[in-house]
Amino acid sequence: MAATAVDVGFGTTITFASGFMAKVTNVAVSGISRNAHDSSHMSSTNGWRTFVPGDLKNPGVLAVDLLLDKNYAGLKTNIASTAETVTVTTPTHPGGSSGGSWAASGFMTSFEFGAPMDGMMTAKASIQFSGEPTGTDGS
Amino acid sequence: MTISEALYQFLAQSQVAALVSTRIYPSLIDTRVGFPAIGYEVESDEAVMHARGEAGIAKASVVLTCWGDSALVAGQVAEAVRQALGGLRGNLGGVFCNRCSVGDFADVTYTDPSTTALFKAGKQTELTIWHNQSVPTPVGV
Repeated sequence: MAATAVDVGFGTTITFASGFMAKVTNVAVSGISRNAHDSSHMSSTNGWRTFVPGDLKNPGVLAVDLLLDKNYAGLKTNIASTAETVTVTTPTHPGGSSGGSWAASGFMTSFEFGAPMDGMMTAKASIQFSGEPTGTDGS
Repeated sequence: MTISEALYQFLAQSQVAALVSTRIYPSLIDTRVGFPAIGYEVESDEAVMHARGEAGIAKASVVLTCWGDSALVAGQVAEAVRQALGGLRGNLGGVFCNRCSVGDFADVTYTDPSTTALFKAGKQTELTIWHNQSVPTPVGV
């Protein structure tokens, strides 16, 4: 049976140089971008705007949803820590041997948590990536 | 242990048993044994997941009905159930209950299809039970 190259996110991990982020329920990397500079002028062909790509790339932000556990002491440490390598590793595809990964230097910029009366205690964290990321294909 | 078994064990050892004795039935009620009685059905028992497996906690929804020969008796059983389970956090018949809530009780009736003379009065509610459960080892993760 041929393995498919698409998959669900179950099995995804997030590791920091200093540790492992447990009980993750959602991972979203966003904001990887670069500017588009308008290069339109009065004689642009057929009146269509033109753009040139900016040289600076934004490595984006990692947003993580978690199930909150009882270990609060590390939260204060995390929000005060300097940048470290953060690696998001997606699951190994059926029939494959390793998952793909996205790694970059990053630091936590926000953290919030809640304890609803009739629901799981959850937390959200945002990590700002800084500098050039490394993308590694799964195999 | 399933949440159904745990709920039975808990009710059978609670103040509810003083009213219904052992007439506590998961699913079908044996109407020959007598009343008052309790019947319940676990409608769902969904484990909370995270990206690496189960979290060890689940949320069960249970429809529970207290039956009696009269609305008064059914109401007394319903009140005993509410007193036993409402806001429970702790041991639920061998399973740790993180939180149990008891919803509103609605009136229901039962008429024996063989004779319209025989009927029972019931009080029906929905229990929401957050409870711990063992965590299976994920395969291939």
